[in-house]
Amino acid sequence: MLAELGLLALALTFAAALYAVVASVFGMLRNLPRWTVSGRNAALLTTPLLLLSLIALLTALLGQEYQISYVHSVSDPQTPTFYRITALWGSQDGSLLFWSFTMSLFTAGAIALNWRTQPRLMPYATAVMMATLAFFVGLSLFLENPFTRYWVQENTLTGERTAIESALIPPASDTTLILAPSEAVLARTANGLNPLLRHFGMIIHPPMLYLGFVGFIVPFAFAMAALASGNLSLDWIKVTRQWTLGAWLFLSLGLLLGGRWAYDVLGWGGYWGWDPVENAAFLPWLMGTALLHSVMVQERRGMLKVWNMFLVIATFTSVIFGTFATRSGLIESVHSFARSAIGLPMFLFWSSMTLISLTLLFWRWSRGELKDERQNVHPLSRETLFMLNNAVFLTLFVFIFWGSFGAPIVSELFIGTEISLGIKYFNQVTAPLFAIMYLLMGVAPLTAWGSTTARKLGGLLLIPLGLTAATGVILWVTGVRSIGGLFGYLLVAFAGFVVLDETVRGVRARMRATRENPLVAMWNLFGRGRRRYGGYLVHVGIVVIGIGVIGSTLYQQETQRTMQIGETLDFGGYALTFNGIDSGQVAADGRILDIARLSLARNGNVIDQLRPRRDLFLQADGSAMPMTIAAAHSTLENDFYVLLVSWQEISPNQATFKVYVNPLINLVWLGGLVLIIGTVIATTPAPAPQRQSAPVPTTAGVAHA
Amino acid sequence: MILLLAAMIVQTQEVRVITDDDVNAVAKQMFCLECENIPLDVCGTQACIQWRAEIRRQLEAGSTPEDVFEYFRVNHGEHALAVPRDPLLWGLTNVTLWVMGALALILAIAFIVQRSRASRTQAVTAIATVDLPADYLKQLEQDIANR
Repeated sequence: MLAELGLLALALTFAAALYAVVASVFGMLRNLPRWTVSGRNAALLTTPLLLLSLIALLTALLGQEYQISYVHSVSDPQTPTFYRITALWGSQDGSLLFWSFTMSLFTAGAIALNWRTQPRLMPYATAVMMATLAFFVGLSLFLENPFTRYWVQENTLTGERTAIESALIPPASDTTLILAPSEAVLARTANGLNPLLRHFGMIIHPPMLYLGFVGFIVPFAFAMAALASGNLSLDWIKVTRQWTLGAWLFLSLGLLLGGRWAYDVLGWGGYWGWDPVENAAFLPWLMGTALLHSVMVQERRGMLKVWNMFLVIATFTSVIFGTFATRSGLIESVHSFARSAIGLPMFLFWSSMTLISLTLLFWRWSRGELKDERQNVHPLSRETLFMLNNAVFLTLFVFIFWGSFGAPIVSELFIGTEISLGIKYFNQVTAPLFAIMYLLMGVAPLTAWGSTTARKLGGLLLIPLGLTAATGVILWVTGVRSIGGLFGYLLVAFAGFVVLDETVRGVRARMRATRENPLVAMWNLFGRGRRRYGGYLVHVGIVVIGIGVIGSTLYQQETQRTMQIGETLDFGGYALTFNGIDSGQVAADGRILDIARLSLARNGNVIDQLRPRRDLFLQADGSAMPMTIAAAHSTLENDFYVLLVSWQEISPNQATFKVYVNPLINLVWLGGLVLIIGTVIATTPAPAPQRQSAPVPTTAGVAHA
Repeated sequence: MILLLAAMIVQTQEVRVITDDDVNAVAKQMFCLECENIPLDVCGTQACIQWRAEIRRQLEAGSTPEDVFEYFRVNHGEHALAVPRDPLLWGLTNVTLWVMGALALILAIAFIVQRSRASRTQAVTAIATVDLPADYLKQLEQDIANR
């Protein structure tokens, strides 16, 4: 019943989305508002329908309906309730359905908030959003159906039984019976959730990523609507600014949480491996960041109209490409994507969407309808520095894309050799660009729109440069002697000091004007200038992250040691003593745990007890999948991070440990938090100016002529 | 007796003491060949355990890390290494990239310079059409130069 309900809701969604596309376009072309309204209503209907489908699947997961093959593949009778919920997006079929649902939510929100205020754009925007939704729902319906069920087909003549999978009940005949498989057998053979996904991060990391990805459909749809309708004013930017910020916020959060998840469970002491899957999520973030800066140039100076359209297209198409690359198997091998069910359709959708949007852009451009209002820029102006900033982000995009996809694909297709590029490669090629980015981050806020004189800029740079120089001296004196590290820290610090100085200037100016105390002045300054000061706070977050990245990348220490009971390892200023192993512990969900007991001391004092462990997840086929869970002593200074090496012998008397000291790594998470707060402030609309009514004069007070 | 002593010394010199850290330093720059983009030093599959053992054996026999990379490259392909060694592939991954980067930078600077020149050309044209006394123009130019 659940499967039928979910399937029906999915099919109706597909039909509604297609109808919405046709009705919206027809209504616009023929100027028939009834049709565009009908299209809008069909679009709004997709959200409750997809919610129904999602609830059906969730109910099946919680109710252990193992006849549904998705439930069978991602859960088993021992799976805790928490992971049954997260299993909703734990594999391809369920995550595609979840993706479609979040897309329908964004679409409904965009329609509800803008239908009345943007009558010329909305029907086109609706059509674009629904066309995209129809594609993804179509993938779920026809290729990766989450409601496929197991059946047993019995030949009544021979008694032979065959297992089959089908969403709908297969037809029976005179010689075949269709039976539901034994529930007991299904439960016994259920796979359970992938152990790598059994982490608290699973509740939030994928949903945040999906919200980020699908959120960019709104600015994309409005940009396409602007191109299609010819309404190329600032309307589409004003409408979509907060949607873009919101999508960027979720994507940032998703990337940070993914890094944290990798740090906790992947067992290599790091948080970002430049893996193609990670890069596929990072690429739209780069384009989105460039877009957020670049639209300001169009708003303030009427410039970069074509470029902004290109950036919106690039951002969303990189979302689709990233989804295609990770879900289709392209990353494993350029040939395997065609063997994946969704590979070819996704490739065709991505390429046709990119082609259509670029064609629309070039069409308007060739008609002279995207001419900049200003052609000139001053070399020392904010718009110039924003253009350079965009060049840096675009170059980062190209470098990372080339290393993740371009070079491996070209190598395999044309040279016949598979290659993969590792952390060292990506660090080398991106480090100079990040350095330029931080330099621009430092200088740009001090420049004015239009032009700035070198003298004025020099004056504004004095304090930040002075503070940076002082920081350099302190770092040198305290032992930071690596030129690369010193240079990196100083660049990042410079960007931070600029923001600090700008904020202090603003607070002091406000205090002089209003006599407020510093805290109140700062509160009101942020309140009135949310976009500006929220943006400054985001920059502070990026600065703090940068310090954490430099520390944990350049100064990480690691060692691997086999230790006997009672042995002490001196490493990184700490003393780690191995006290014993609690082997064969059985958890509630059936995992077998080997837990090491370690004491951590510093300067002779025991400061923590660490319990790294190895979990063995027993599979239905009798095999066991190991997973290592690290233990860490975390401070702002560093993480002392210990892994139990699962592939070496773990006996009552000895075990092998991999130990990392990761300096400043917790600044990465702290900086992320600051970035999120800054983005929320920047996204929040400023309060509307209060109207003050003048008192109405009475007739007694009016002088008679 | 002297020959026996010499042989013992040579044999001792051939087997270096290689730590887990020495092995991991090399394995870190290689990939597991069975898994997707997993560095060799953190992979727990049986194949990876054997490959790390091979790395240890070669290092103990006196091979340098470069020798080890070359061995795996020849026997398992460029895919085993985190950075390709083959000149053509190295060019594909590195040279192409820096060429693209330099091009992007040149294009960006050229765009900005072109837009700045447009600004100055328009300003000069505007001034040239105004009919001003010569000594006033001279004073104006002097003031601009002093600014």
